[in-house]
Amino acid sequence: MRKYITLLSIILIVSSCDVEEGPFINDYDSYVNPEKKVLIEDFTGHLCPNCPDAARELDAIHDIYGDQVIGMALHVTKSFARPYLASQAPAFQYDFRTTWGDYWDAFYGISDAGLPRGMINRIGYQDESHKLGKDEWATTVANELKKEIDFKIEISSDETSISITSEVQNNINADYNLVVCLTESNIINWQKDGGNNIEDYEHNHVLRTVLIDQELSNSTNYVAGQEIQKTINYDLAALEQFNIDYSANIAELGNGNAGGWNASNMSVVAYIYNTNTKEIVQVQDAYLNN
Amino acid sequence: MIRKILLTLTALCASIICFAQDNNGEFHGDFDLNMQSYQEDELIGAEAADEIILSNSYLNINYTKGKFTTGLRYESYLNALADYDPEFKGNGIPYRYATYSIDGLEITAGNYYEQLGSGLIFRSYEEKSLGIDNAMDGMRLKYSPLKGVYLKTFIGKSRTHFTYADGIFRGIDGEVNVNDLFSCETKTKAILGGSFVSRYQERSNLIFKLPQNVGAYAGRLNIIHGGLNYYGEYAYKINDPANLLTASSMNYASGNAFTQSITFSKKGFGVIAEIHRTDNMTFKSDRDKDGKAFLSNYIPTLSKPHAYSLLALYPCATQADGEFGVQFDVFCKTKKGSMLGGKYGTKFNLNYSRINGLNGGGSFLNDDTEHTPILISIKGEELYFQDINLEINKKINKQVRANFVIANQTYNKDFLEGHVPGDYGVLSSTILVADVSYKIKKGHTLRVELQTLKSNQLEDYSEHGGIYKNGMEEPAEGDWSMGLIEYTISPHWFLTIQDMYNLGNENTDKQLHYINLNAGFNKGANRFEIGYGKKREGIFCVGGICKFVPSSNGFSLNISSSF
Repeated sequence: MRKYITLLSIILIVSSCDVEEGPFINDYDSYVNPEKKVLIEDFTGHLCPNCPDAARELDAIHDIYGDQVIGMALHVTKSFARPYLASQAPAFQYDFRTTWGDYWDAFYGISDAGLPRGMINRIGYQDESHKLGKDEWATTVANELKKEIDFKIEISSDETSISITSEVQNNINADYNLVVCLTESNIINWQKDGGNNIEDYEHNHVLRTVLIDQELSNSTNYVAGQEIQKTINYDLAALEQFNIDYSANIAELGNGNAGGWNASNMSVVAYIYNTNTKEIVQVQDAYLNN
Repeated sequence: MIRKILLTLTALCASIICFAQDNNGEFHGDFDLNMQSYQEDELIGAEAADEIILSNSYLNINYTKGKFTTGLRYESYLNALADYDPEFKGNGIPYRYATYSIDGLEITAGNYYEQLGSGLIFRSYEEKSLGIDNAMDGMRLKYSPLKGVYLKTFIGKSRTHFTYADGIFRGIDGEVNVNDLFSCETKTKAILGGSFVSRYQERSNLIFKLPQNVGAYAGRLNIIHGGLNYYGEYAYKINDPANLLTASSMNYASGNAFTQSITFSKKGFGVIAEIHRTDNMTFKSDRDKDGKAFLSNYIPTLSKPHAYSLLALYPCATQADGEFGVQFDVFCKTKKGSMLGGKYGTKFNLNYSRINGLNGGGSFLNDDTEHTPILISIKGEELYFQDINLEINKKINKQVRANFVIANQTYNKDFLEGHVPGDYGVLSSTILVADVSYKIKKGHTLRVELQTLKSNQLEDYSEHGGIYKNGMEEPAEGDWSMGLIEYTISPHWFLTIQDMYNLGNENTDKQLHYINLNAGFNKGANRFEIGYGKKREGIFCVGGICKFVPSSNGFSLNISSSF
C-alpha cells in the first residue's frame, strides 16, 4: 500500500510545474511601465479659444495614468498670450508668458503650426513629427509609457533650495541635460473658451520659470546605480521680478503684469533630455517645499 | 498570539507528561542567551539602541521515548540584536514538532529542517549567526522500502521570522546506495540520488503571465573508490519570474546549476578539486519578497571559510543568479623527523579559489530580450573573488604550537556589496597571520595572534571622477593590523584581548582601533561569557550566505547551557 502511496505522490508532485511560453505579457496594449513618466508640454494662450479643449484632454489623460503624466502649460505668442490693453480691463490683463516658453516655442516651431499644440516628451523632433495636435496625445502617451527607463529622478526642496537626485538605471553612453522648472496651478484668471470669455478659469501647471538647463554630468558615461545629485538655490521674489521685467521690457505687447505668484501652489518639474534627439527620457514633479 | 502560545504549551506539556509517566523517556535541551548593549560612537558610526540593551535567546526542549520524539523551541527577541533582521521581534514558539518511526517509515508533523542533495534546489536550515531560520511547517515522510533505498517526501510552508511565506513546497527525494541494494561488497561504491521540489503560489499579476507551480529537480552521483571520492550534482529550475509590472525586469529564463568535486586522500596527503556554476538559481519561498529570510535553496560556497579576522574581512558571497568558480585544495602532513616535518611533523594546506561572473550575466528571457551565457567562460569575465592561501600548522615542541597563514585575496567590493563600479573598486589584499600558543604549565595556555593586511586597488578608476585616490567615490579602508592575546586556564576560565587597527584608512579620521575584551567561564554544561568592545561595520558570511553587520560599541553577555 505504502508503495502505491509513494508512487502516487511522485506523480502528483512531478506534474506540479507550470512552464510559461511567450509572449509573456497578457495584454500589451494596456501595458504601462510603472516607473516611466511622461511630460506633456501644452503650448497655449489665454486668448486661444480652442486651447481649453487641449487642457481638458491633458486632464483626461492624467485621469487615466495618474502621476505618470505630468503637464506643463506654456503660454506663448503675441496673438494668443499677450495681455489686453489697460483700457480693456479687467479682461485678460495678465501676462503668462516667459522667456523660456517663447524660446522653446520658437526653437520647436510649435505655434507656427497653430495652437493648441503640444509635445509629448519632445519625441519626434528629428523627423519633425514632434508638433502634436491634442488628438494625437493619448496614443503617443500610451506608447511612451511602455518604454524602459534609464533614469529615476527624486526631488526634494525647501524655501531656498531644490535638490534633484538622478539615479542611473542602465549603463549608457550619451549626452543628457537636466532641466528644472517651477510651475503653478490653481491660478484663477481670464481665458477664452470657445466663444466665451471665462473670468474665473482655473489655469493649471503653468510654466513660471526655468532654474537650470545644463548638462547632467560632465561625462557621457553613465553607470547603473550611479546617483547624480544637484542642489539649486533659488529666490522666488527675484525669479518673479525676472518675469515681470520680461513682460514689461521684452515680450511683445507685454505689460509687466506677471507677478502675484503663490508658492503654495507651485511644483518643481525636473526632466532629463537627450541633447541630440531632444527626447525627454524621464521627468518627475513634486510640490515646492515638499 | 499569546493565547496560541499558551495552547501550544499546554498541549505539549500534557503530551509530554503522559509519555513521561512511565519514566522511560529522555529530555534533552539547550539554552542560549545573547545580550548586547549599544552605545553611540560617532567615529565608527555605531548607533545607540533606544532600548539600550538588545537580546536574542532560545530554549530547545526535546523529549524522546523509543521511536517517538517531540520538541519545541522557545525564541525571544526583545528586541533583536542590531545585526538581526528587525522582523524577529517578540516571543514565541515558532518551532514545534513530533516524530515517530515504525517499520522503516518515519513521520514528522510540525516543523522540520530538510535538505535535498547539497541544497541546490532546496534547503531548509537554521544558522543563528546569520539570522536564518527557514524551518518548514508541514508533514514529512521518510521511508526505506529496501536496504540501500531511501525515500522522503514532504509538504510544507517555509518559516520567515515569526510567520510563514506564501509559497507551499512539495518535495520528494530518492537515494539509492547501489552496493547496499545489491549487497555487493566491491571496492567501488556508488550512491545515486534524485530530487524534485515544487512551489505553489497563487498568481496575482494582471499584466504578465506567472507560473503558479514552479518546479525544480536535481540529480546527484557519488562514487567512492578507495581514497578517491567523486560527487556531482546537476539542478534545473523552470521559469520563476518575480511578480513585477515592469517588462524589462520580468525574467522567464529557467535556471540551472552544477557542482562537481573530486577528492583524493591517503595518509598525510589530500587533494580536492571543485568546480561549480550557477545560473539564475535563486529560489525563494515567496516570489514577491526579497531578503535572506525567503531563500529556499543553497548554493555551496566555493571558497575557503576563514576563521582569522583579517582573512575573513572581505568574504565571498555566493551569487545564485550567476557565477562560475573553481577551487583546489592540497593538504599534506610531512613525516616526523623529516627536514620539513621536524620532531612532530608539519601540516600544510594550499588553497586556491576563483569565482567570476557568467558571460553577459545570468540567463534572461522575456518578450524583448533573450540571453543564455556560454557554459564555461573564465577569461575576460568579471572577477568576483579570488583567494590563494597557504596555511602551515606546526607543533614546535611540547609547549609551543604555531599556525601561519599567507594569503592573497581579490575582492570585487563594488559587485559583491552591491555598489556602483568605482565606489570602492576591486581590492587586492595580502594577509599574513601568525598564531602561536604557548603552554605555560598544566592547564595554563597563552595564545597570541598577529595579523596584517596590506590592501591595494586593482583596477584604475581614475577616469571615474570620484574624489578619492584612483578616482574612487568612497575612501578606501586600506591596510589593517590585528593583535590578540588569549589566556586560558582550562577547563574553566579564558580571557581575550583583541585590537583591530585600521591604520591605512584613506580617511584619516577613520584610522581607528577596534578593541575587544572577552572573559568566559565554563563549568559543566554551562558557559558564561562577557565582553566589551567595538565592532567594525562589515559583511559576515557563513557558507557563502552573507549579512551586513552594522558597527557597534558596547557590552555583551552570552550564556549557554545544555542538558
